[in-house]
Amino acid sequence: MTVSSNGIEPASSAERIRAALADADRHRRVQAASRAFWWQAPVVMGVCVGIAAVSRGRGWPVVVPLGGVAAGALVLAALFYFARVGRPVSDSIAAGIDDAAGFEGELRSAGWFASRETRDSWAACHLDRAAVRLRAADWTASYPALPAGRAKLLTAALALYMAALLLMPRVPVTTSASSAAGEAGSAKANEARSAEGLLPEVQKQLEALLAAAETGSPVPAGIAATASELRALLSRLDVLRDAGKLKDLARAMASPGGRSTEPFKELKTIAERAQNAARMPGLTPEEREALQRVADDMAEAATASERPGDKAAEAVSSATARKSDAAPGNEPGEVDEPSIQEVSDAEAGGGAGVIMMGDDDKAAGKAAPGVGLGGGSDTRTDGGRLADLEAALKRETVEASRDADGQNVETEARRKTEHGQATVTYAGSAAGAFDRGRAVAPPAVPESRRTAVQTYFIRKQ
Amino acid sequence: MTTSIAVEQSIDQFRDRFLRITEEVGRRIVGHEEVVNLTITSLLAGGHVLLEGIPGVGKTSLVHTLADVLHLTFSRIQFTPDLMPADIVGTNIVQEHSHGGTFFEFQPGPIFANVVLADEINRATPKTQSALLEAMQDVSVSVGKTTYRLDQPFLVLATQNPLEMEGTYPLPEAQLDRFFFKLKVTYPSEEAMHQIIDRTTRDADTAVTRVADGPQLIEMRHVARAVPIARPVQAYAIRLTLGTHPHSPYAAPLVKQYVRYGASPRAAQAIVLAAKIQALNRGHAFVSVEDVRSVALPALRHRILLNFEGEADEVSTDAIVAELLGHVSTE
Repeated sequence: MTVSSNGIEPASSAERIRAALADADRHRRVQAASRAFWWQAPVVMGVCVGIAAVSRGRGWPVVVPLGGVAAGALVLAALFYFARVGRPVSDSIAAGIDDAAGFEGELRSAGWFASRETRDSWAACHLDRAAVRLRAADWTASYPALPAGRAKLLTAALALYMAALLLMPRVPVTTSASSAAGEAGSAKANEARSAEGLLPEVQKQLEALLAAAETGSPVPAGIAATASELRALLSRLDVLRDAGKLKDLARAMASPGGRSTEPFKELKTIAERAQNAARMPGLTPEEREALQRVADDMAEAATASERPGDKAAEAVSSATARKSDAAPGNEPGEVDEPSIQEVSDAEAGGGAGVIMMGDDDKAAGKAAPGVGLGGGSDTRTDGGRLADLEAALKRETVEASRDADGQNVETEARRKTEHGQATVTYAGSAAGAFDRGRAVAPPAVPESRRTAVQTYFIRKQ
Repeated sequence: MTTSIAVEQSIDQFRDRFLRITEEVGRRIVGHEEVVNLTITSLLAGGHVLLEGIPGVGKTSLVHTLADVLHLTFSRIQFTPDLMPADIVGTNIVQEHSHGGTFFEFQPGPIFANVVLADEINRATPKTQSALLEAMQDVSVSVGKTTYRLDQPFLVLATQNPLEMEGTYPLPEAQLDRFFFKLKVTYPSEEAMHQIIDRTTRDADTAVTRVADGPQLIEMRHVARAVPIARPVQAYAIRLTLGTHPHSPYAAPLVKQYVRYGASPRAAQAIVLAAKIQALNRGHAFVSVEDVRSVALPALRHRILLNFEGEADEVSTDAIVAELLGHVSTE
């Protein structure tokens, strides 16, 4: 039997090393699990807060967010449980423990020898030494507990917030609240609600104002009386310039729940009255123009609400589009003029421009000016743009240069032939005989590579 | 006395002798601690060393000093283009009997020594260089039909100058592979220069003491081979060796780009054996990954054959090994 100088039997040394490695591995895994826990705890709590917020908004029972919390806690508890379960220590784990504890490879090597059944005197001595050294090992120092202060703080804050969400009484959603949300303009639905909510108030003020303007009587109390107030009112009406909102407004008014059963008539009336008001003296040009604009929009909206389905919306869109800064010439008869204008702006390859203008069929002409230029698709209706024309001209020029006879074609063909991928052949050429007298020496080694070649042939050790 | 105690004593004795040899050599050789350490390591492993360095940096002095410190027979062969193999291994000469008649008698060449300094080995022709092959590998020489054993310990320390390459015959790969280590003797530092000048321009005693002899070195060799190495550490040494081959899965990008052939299994043997000696030198009874890493460069640098791109771009094999050490996983 082999006995070490310090009285430790090799077998017990091996067992001690295995136990120490298992203990160190457990510390390592607990620390890793702790690190993972505090990385994931704020995320899990954040998800729970999200669930709580959604369930609060939708009126779900409190059990739902609490269930989320319980599920998260279960996952984390499982993580910890599996971290603590003992398992065989592999060499890579032993290497990691060795490195963390500063054993300079001794623990890794001893761990491997401890797992062997047979070992010679040198290995036994090695294990004895490692076992003695392991007595002083402090795994809690090698794998200290993580402070994770910020993660803990964040998790606690989220937990408090979730508790507040669950415990505070639920406030019902009001029209004003949704109107405020609509003013924020964050969602389209809110915008639609804003248009609906704005209508009675604005319409009321507008009617009063128009009545006062028509009769020349003083403005009723509480209604806009000064030019600045009128401007404010008109700016609020500006929201109606948006085609989408007008469409929403038309739909809202046409709906059974709307204020009027014949909204288009009402709108038309308001439009006429706004038209009349715009003609009245005493208004600044700015106010007159704004009133005129409102009158036009109202008239369009009224026309739109008269038509069924999406035609109404299209009418509104076209009305808005006509007022926008888009290029003129949507009518079929106006096709050529703007298109020619666009091409002359391009100033690149007049000939190419003429070729591109050759496509003057009616369908393309009806679509939009510039459509079909440079081979563009005639399905586009937004008109030709300078960048498109430039790209098309460049493409045409490149294609034209490839077709041209001369040095370019010859070079390309030769290069391709050398690579065995030629698409062009010399049909009329005969195979030339090799003329030794015209042979030239191979190119000299470039000066920059000369040293390298010399180095290669005069090899160093 | 128990076995473990005997092992402990062996380790202590080995370490003590190693340190004494190093210190004694250091009395004459200034600086170059790593070169001295690795030369002694190679001697204890039974390998041969190729020393490369510019003239005057102390290559020959190191070999002389080592022979003096270890109480070993020493011979020096100056390699020249007209040197013949018989000038190295010896030859049969005709002798005359006292009673008349003649006979052939073998006259041993300078290879018959414990420490052989092959100075400027790349100046001799390949034919002469190859005369060293058998001696370095099998520690024997064959002349005619007779094979003569060389005395142990046997160490060939060859030097070559990296500057004057004209008129030289680069060592073939087979011969390079037989060198355990290739060590580069660099220019001494400013402080080391002061010490060199102080020692050599005064009437100072630079005599060295013999601190070990041949049998002791043989014993140290046996101790070194007894050091256990864990399989994962050995696997790392093997991965490093395999990683020098461009088609190996362990190959680093530089290896794939610039290497034609990688190191032979002799490299792995050299790494493991040298790592064991390094471990003992540090008083350990085991081999660690750090021991392997510390000897990988001198064991691999001369066993890597560069391709044309590597030669043309003057890529250093040291850089390739350094990248390999960072690339190959230790686990």
